[in-house]
Amino acid sequence: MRLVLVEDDPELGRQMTAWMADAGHHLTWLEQGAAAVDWICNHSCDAAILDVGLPDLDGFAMVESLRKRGMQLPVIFLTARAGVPDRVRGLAAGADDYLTKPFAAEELLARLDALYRRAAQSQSLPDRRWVGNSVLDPVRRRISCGEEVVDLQPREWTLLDVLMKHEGRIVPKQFLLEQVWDIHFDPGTNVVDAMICRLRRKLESAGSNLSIETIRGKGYAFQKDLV
Amino acid sequence: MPFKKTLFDRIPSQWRLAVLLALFVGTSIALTLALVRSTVSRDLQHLTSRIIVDDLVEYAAIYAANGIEGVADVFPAGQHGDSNGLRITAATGELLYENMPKSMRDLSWPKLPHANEWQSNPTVLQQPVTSGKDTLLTVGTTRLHDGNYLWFGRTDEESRRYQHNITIYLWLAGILAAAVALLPVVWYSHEVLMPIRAFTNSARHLHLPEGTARLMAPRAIPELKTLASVVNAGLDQILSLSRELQGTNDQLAHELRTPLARIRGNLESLLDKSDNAEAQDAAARSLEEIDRAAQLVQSILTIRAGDHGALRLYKQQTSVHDLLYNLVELFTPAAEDRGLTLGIKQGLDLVLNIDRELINQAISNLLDNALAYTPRGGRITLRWQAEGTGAVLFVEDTGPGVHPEEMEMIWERYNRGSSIFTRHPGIGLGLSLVRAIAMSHGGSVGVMNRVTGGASFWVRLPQC
Repeated sequence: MRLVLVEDDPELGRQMTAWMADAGHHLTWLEQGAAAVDWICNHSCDAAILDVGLPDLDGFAMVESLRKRGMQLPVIFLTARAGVPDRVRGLAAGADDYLTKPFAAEELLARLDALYRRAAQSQSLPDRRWVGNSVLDPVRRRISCGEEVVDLQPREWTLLDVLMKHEGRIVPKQFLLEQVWDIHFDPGTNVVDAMICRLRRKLESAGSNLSIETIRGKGYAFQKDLV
Repeated sequence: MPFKKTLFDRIPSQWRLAVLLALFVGTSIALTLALVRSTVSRDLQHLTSRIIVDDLVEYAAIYAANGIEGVADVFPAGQHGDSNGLRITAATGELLYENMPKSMRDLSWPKLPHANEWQSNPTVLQQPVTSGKDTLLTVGTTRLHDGNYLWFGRTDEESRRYQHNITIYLWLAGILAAAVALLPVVWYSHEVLMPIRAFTNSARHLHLPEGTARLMAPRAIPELKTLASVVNAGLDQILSLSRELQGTNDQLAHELRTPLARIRGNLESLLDKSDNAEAQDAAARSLEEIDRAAQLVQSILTIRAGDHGALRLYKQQTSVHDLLYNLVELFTPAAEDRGLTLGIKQGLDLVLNIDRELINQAISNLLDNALAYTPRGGRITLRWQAEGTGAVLFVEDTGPGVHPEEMEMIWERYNRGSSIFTRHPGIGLGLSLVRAIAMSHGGSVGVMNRVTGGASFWVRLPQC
């Protein structure tokens, strides 16, 4: 992906440039809001990451200005303000997603992934499909592996679905909480861990070779060919 | 006695004022009446005596000159009306002449005067009592030159008429005075009470988090207007302080979050790039700590803003059932891992206008708490009940309960109950956050121990 980052904090800018390079994206880092709007209009890129608190032109104004000029590229806000009214204001201004500092590199990558996917196609899942050695039936939320069949709860299915969409990549806990439960805070108790364990047990009981790995300090990763 | 006091206190103040004024006017009239009546009656009595003595002297003179015939000629011409009478008796008491209206004849006249030293005191006054009649007769007697007695009597009928008239006029004056005395009551309820009620109505909105409500009473008396403007000035100051605090909070959040983000980024690189397992483990643990610190900053800001009514809410129509059901779904696997049963007690669904995410967070904190303190095999139940147009949400567990002395304290920042909180590490901000969120919705929180054991934490959310 060709990405543009507008961030006035040099340390964060440097880190993100390195992460995106590691992830195979091409990132252009700009520090000035007004100049960045012109740059984005004159270059082709797949998504923009904007810091809300820029000294010259804040993120809200930048998005409005971009949308006014007819630029439809996906925009993610980076911000230090975590309240719901702030998030709503950001989304109302025309942003597609909203990320609160501090955030995990994987969180940003997962969100970019989701945005890119959304922009590329509105995906409708086929009735049944093969993943690894398992057949997934989204209508009945059922996984069959030969003779073995296991039924998933709605949230378990959504969880598996989100993880599969980001296959081979680490998905952070907070991203899962948002995507699966629409929860934007840390509920304390290890709710995600518990749900992942349960899903994992169900997959194992069906003899599926789909697996979910826990990566300490980072999140979870979906794999289908380890077992 | 205390009952009477509270009863009087419950009467609206304009009625109290009216009752006091009525008492005042009534007492004034009664006192005036008593005073006037006793004075007038004494004066009239005196007048009666004078009239009797004068007439006795006059008719004694006529008798001396012309005998009984003279008196009989002159008396009827004297226009004495129906309240005066005259009689002449012999020294033995035998009636010689009498002229009086019939009503007076029925009264018991004395046969003979009291024994008297006629030389020094030519007239004797007496008031014989007639049984069965309340008319008071005053009779004067004088001894004529030939030894006969001349009697002149006068009833109090005329005096009574006077007194009756005076009483009526006084009462009329009293009623008029009472009507005039009502004017202050009307003025009081219009100019004082109505503005105070307007104050009360506008003050009901003061607790709302927006903090823009003010005391309003455009038609109030100057003193109340001054009061309103002083209070409003104070409220303005509080509002500007809370806005300033909001600004400071935002700035603080920014100041803290950006460096946390920088550290987090570097730690991630360390975790990714290091081949040393120990370094990776340290980085992973540090990342968890950073996330906890970021959450802590957010909690402190939310609590501070909530306590000062400066928390900005994003209210949405939210089904209580859906909200609690989603949380049960979220927490069930974690509860089952701990050997706990997590359930919801169905009730009539309610839709509240609340900040869904904040209330979600508040109930999550209570659930987090319940999961931490309920021993294996226990049960956690979420339920709710309507209250007015709002609702009370309950999180009930079968844990050790809360010590009665700690029921207030546990909601205070950084406080943890002594015995039961020891098991759970971390800073005790969870319950303070719950309270701040409830307060920002104009609500309240509390905890009670259930009869069957365990604690019941509740969050009250009024609808506003």
